Amino acid sequence: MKKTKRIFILMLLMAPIFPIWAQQVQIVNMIPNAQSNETAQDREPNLAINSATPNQLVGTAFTPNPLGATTPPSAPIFFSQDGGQTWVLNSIVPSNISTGDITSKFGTTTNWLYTGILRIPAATGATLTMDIFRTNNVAGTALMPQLQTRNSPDQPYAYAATPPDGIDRMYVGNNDLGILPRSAAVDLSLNASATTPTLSTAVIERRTPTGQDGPPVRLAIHPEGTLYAIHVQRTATSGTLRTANIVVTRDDNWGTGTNPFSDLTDPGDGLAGRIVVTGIQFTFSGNNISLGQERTGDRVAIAVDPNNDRSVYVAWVDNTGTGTNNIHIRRSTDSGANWSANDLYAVNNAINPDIAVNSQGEVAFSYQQLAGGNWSSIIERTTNDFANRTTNVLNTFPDNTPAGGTFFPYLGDYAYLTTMPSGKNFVGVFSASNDPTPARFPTVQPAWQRNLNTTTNQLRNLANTANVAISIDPYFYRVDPVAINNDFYVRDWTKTPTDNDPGAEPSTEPVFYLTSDVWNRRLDTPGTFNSNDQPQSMNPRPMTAGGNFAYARVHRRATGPAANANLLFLKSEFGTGSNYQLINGVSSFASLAFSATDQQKTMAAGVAWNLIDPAAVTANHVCMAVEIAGPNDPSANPTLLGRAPGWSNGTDLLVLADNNKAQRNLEVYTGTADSGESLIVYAIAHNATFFERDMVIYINPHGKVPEREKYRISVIGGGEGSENAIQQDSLVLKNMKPCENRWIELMVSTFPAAGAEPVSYLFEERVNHMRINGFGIDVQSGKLEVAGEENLGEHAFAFQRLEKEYNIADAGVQASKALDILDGTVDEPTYTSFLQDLGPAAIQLIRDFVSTQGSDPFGVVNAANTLENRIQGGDWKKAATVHGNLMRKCNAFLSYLDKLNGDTADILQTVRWFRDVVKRGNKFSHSELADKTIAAADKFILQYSNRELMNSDYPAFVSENLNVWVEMLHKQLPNDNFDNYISAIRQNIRDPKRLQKSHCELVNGLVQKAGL
Amino acid sequence: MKTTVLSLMIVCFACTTPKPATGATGAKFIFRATVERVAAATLPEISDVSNCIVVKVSEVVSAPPGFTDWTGKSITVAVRDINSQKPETEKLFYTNGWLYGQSLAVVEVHSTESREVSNEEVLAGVNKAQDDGVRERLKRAALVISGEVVRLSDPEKQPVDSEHDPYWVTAEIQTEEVLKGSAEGSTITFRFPSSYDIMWQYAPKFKVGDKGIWLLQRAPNQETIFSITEEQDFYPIERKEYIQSLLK
Repeated sequence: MKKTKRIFILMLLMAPIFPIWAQQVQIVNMIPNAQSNETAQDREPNLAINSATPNQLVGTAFTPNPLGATTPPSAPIFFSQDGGQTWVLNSIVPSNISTGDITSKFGTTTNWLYTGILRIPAATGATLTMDIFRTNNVAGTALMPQLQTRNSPDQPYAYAATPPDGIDRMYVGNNDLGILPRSAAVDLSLNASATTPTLSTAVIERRTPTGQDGPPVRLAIHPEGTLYAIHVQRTATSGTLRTANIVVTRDDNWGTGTNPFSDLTDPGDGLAGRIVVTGIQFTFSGNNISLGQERTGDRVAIAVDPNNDRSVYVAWVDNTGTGTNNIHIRRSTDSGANWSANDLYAVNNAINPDIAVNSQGEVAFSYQQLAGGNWSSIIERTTNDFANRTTNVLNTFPDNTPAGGTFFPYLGDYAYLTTMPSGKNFVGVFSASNDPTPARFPTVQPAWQRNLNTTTNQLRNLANTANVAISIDPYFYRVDPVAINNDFYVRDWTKTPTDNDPGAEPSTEPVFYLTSDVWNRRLDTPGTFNSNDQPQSMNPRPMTAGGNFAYARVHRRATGPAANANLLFLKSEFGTGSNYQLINGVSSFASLAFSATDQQKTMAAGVAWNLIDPAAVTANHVCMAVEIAGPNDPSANPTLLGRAPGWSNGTDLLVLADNNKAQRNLEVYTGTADSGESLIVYAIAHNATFFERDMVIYINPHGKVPEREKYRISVIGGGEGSENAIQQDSLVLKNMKPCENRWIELMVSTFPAAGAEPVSYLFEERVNHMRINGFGIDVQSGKLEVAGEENLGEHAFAFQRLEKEYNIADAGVQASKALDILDGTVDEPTYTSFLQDLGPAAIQLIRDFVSTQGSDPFGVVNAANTLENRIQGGDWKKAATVHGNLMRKCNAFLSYLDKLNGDTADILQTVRWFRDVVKRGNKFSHSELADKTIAAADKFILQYSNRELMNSDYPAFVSENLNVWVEMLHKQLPNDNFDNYISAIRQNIRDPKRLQKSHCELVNGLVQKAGL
Repeated sequence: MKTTVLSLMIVCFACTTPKPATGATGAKFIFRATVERVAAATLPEISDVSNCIVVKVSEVVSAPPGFTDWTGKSITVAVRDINSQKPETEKLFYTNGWLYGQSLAVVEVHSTESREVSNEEVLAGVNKAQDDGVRERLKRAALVISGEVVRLSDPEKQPVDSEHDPYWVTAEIQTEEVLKGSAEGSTITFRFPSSYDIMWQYAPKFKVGDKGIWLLQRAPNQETIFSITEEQDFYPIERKEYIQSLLK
């Protein structure tokens, strides 16, 4: 018996754990197992997702403290550390037993959680007290510190986001009954993550409603700083019938102006706040049931497309149509200026609408509907404005079971729907009966944490000795628009054959750029996978044509129909923040044919590419990326083309959040052990944002940390006022301007023993707590000929560039000789002869070249002198390491010089930056010319992203729009002179690279003068 | 040596002077348990276990209903002094809640060697803490009366729309006895929120014929109106002697 039990337990332990995310729709009952006894009415739920730690979620509801009243008073939140699969209750909100209305949101990158509540009990003398709290430790024991308390506001609804400056913006929509009749308000803080944040109240109602505005004030935040708000402007009251207008307001710059939410006016009266629809009527039932056991009243929702801040959806509830509580959805495609005349979609007898738009532009709509005596919680998705819809009924249960009437609201005055950060998966929460009968869950059975008898379909108590009465519980759900048998993915990481990326979105491994399933080969064969199931990537071969082959392995989450997965390869400068470019122009594509039984395919032949042409990548060490798409599984927007992970759209998780994208940022370098010489390598740090910022790069933040005395890090670039702070565990590259590059120099003085595993140096770019990108440098010891082969590659590449870019004929000889040797077998005598015979000439050539440049920031001449000494001394081990250093310095210097003239990889960033400045600059204030400029930029950005335009089309774009820009500058900034900038643009109008530089300088000039 | 002496002194004190256990103040979950592991936790959500121990609950002494189900289960206690924790020690823990997940984690308010305090002493301590709380409310009350609800007004809607409108109802009580303060006439009126909204969920609701003791506060900014908004301000008539004892 005992043995059987042991075997059973062993089997359980050995069984693979399949996350519930293995299904397309997943539902989780959020009540933890420890609360199996509870019968509270946990209604009106809300949800917060921590983008900086994307598997950390926080849920809220009217859930009581399990211990009842405590000293000091405390009420709970739910939190999850595993993406919502399991939930834990923690009473950290200062309110007695439970809260009134409660909503929470995280800042994007800071780990700060902001919570707005109606406190129980209200302050002495007040009917309602709104408190705002924050914490950066949702699992801790400390109560959330208070940021603000105000009497009178109703229905606080919290939002937060972190712009690239790294400081949280927090907004709490509320209906401030203390400032009647214009009561629609937003309490906001523009420095919510500061030590002592300041808060203010913006009244967003600009007209005079009858008596008051309605309770809900909802916001939609676009990650680039456009805020939309919706409220219900009451115009008449009769009994329980209310008449109102639905009003949308907008702020184009995070609410930073003196009069926030003033950027959208109504053509009728010129006041801020576009009236979307007038004269709607609905029932405000107050303390009475109105729809089943639920009360009814003002209900609204708003959402903005994360990839198109002009595309906005709204929903509201009124009595128009069949039934009494009808939800209507409309859309604006021009930032709220105009709205669809008719409903895109409507449902009747429903409450709690919410809308979300994912990274694909797919729209989801959630609501709770009473039909046939049953409440159903429903999500519908559409890709064509509701002409076609995919509908999932998540839960259905009979109204009044559990019995209502003694608690309000029955399900809540709102539920919540959103998307995973930067992702295509929809997630949300709703409250419904916890009757576990399978028929209550028509789409998929939920995961339960509380005890359950699945035979009798009864809830059980904690001791599993008695049944527990049904009540209202909160449910978390997640909907993946892609069916698992259509869901193709590229692994972001592989540790072992059994511990690897299963296609999770977001990816769970923080280091997602070292062991991914995209790699380079110098031969047109994919190579073998090692014992850990990792591909064997090779450093790029430094030849000008056809020497490299890009490979990828693609998985599918389940077998499915025969289908082709299409692959697009990209490359960027080695380092972090540089914008990706196609790896080989129109030849950057591949395809993998999956049969019905295939779940995994590896490319048999690679995509040929080379280091110099045609992509705008200058270095001989690169980051590689792949984007894949299946027939029903597109790569999420935006593409990496022209962008860098982390900075595509606000602060993002572009690669982590999309299992169709992967990148490899790892280079391996070989030094000659015991030579006594240090090995020097370079990587580029590029500021891919629209803001000047301090770029923070952590050194070896995970796992094994090489001893600090064995390496030294320095930075080339910056300068006065832009110093680089190099600390024990981080680099801070201060005051990096948009499009600016700096070179990180790693000097390793102690190598691993010959034959030992390489020592890894990891560099991780973070914004606050969000890991957005990184790269790895592996240093290994090798024999002279191995180091020599690498060095000859560097040598060939450097001299090819000197020949090609500077017309130095003798450089071609050097390159040819190196390539000749590389074509054969590199052995020690061949390499040392090369150094002996060609070294002196190469050194002299380099010295001569540097002397013509006027500066030597990489210390090329010193390295050349050292190599000369080593060759003269005949110490070939030392000479080999120094030769490699010299050539890497040369290549870094050539890239540095090249980028002084502009960078075609930064064309899209420059256009996006220009658009952002024109859009947000106070002095442009939505002039017709500014709008025209923005529209043209939007078109270019879209076409470039869709690969309908290339870098070579950039001059035409500038030519077509330059006159508009000039006119706009003259009209909007009459006191500033931009003639020099414009003149430079005209001068470089035919050269995309130089044009980018001139354009960049214009934008930089605008930033200084446009009030940004 | 010093510790041993101190322990003996405490034991002797407990034996000779049976007073309520002082650690009960503020603790809502009091139980006996054996320390199983030190610097460990039963919930994966606790990333820093440096001040946590895992204990097996042997007896729940005082807790809200349902918490007795933790008897026999291992839970986590965040302790005040990790260095003094020893495996296999049986202790009496005075705690408050922390995390409720696949298991339970609580925060130690106080603890002592299990055998030093009896259940009766613990419960006496809990009761004393509760009595102190009621005394405090009695002290704050302007008027304490016993009686019966004889009339209720219609709910009064506020002039503005809020889902949290209390819908005040005015109750008239036929006074049986004035236990504290002074009242003119045989009836007293007060208001209470009739709304079943979440904001007033814990406020007592009354109907005609209800008998009990009311601890009446002045409604803020309205000197002439009493109000009842918290459940601790009403007791069934059966608790009259108890309330009277606390008023002495």
